[in-house]
Amino acid sequence: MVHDAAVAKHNRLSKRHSGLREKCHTFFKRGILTKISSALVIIFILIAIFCPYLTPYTPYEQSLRNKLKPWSKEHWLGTDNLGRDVLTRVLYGARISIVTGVLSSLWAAVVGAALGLTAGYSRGFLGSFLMRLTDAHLSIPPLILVMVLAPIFGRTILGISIVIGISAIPSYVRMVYGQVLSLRENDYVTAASVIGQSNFKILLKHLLPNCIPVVIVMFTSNVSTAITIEANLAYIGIGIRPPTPAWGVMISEGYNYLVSYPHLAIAPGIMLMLLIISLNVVGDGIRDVIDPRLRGKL
Amino acid sequence: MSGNMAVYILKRILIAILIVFLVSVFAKALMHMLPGDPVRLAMGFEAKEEDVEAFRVRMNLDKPIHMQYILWVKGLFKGDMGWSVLYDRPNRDIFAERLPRSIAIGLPAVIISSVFAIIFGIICAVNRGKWSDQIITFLMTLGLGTPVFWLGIFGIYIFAIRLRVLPIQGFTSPFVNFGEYVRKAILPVACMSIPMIAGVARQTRTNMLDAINQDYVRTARAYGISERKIQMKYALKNALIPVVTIIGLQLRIVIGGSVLIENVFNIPGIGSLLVTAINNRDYFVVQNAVLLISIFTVSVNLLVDILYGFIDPKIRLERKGG
Repeated sequence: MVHDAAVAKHNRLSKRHSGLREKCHTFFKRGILTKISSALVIIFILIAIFCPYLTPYTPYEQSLRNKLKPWSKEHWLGTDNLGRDVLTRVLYGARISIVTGVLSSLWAAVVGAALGLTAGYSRGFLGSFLMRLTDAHLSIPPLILVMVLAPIFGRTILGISIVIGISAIPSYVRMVYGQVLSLRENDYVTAASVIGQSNFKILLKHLLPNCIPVVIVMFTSNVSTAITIEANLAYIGIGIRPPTPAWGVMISEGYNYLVSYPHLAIAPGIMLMLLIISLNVVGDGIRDVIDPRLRGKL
Repeated sequence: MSGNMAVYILKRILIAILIVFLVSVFAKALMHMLPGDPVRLAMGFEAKEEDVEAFRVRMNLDKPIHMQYILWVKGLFKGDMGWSVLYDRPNRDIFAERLPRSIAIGLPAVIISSVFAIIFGIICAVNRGKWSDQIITFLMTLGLGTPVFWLGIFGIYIFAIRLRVLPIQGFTSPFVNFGEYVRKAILPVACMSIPMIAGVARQTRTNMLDAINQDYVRTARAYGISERKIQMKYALKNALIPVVTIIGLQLRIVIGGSVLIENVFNIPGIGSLLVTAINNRDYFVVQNAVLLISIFTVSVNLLVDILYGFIDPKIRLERKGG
């Protein structure tokens, strides 16, 4: 009787951890902010995909006769100093931010997880050398590192995403390294090693799958950081090259007209802020669902 | 015991030196990876070939890369940071002139934000789930998500352009005119503090909640010690240890993290120097700035590590292997 109850409880618990529906439930139970943020993230993704169909203009179309016009029926947010439609550029900005953010987090996740696995599993010189390199990497603030590296890889979306990805690698290495160190002590790893499985196979089959949740959590929190860095770079004029409609570029150009045309800088800024905040909130939610123990570490 | 501690400290120092060495190699190697010829850019494209060559020799650029590296590091030990091609002045003078300005903005920001962050974090943890916690947590989410440079522009728009209560930008040394310094520093310091407050407060809240759930707190409660005393005396002490590390790391913002704020508010500090140097390919400034920032971070980490070793013997043992 008692045993049955224990089994039932165990089943219920394990089900709670596996069911996607249960996970969604925990996610949305976090409150109204999580719901609004998820909706916003979805809207931003839709904007990024469908922006060419949302507006009759292109972000590069100049019309010097119509420059710095206030809002009107044709131009909902007016036009900028070159007569380009501000709303169009703001919408296309979502595409650039999201693509750069996702790409750079992807590079960092793949390289960082691989290095972290290697460092964590190989005892001795290689492991400690990799960790010292990571320490050195971490001693330069990410923005400074990205600023210095940006001219090497070119100021395109791909180049900037690689550079931002490089700056995010050490946090993955550290996290996966810590994870592997604790996983390695598990009996199943020892067992696999005893029955003669190769190190590479153990890494790939036993350690990697157990690191994936951590990497997913880091990935989601990393996208918003990457977007912030991209905007920072574009703002100081080392990031994606104008006239590409990156929000940072628009804010920096709009800053010159702040007294008379504040919306040129304020509008892309609000979009950027909304995207980053909603990504942060969604990231926190995903972390709580996948692994609540990571709270405070990320 | 003391021998153990000495070994621990020595090991930390050696690792710190290794890290700084790796960064210095990276900084020098960058010069060869970056596109563009700094000498050409500095002298203009009309300059005569022999003048350019003479300048190249003067800057040691004609020597192989490892010799350049050795000469640079040798100079550093003698207090010579090399010559800036962009400003045509010794780097040491440029840094000496600009560093105090960055500190004058960055240090108040770190101090103010640490105080506010810890207070907010405690308020949240003690009132967990109540409206005060929810409001502060929401504000922290906003603070963490707002890009610093946009916050600065927004602040300028509201306080300088609309309300006209603060100057738009610029910097005055506090030793020249303190009143003017305060008026010009309010906005940049505030904009720099807000994300730091949000980050550190969040960490304090998490740590404080962890500490409140520990066994020793339950024991203290069982002894009948008042809840307030438990929170302030026992939980807070343990919650603040990791927070001190984070505040220590914020200190590096004083040197290099202020790039954006200095750009928005037109403050001629280290951050804006770095942007100008990168845009003009003045690698001699860039390599020194990167190394300086890294040395600062590593020293702060080293201090924190050593302090931890004294506070918590467990850490000393744990990190022995690493």
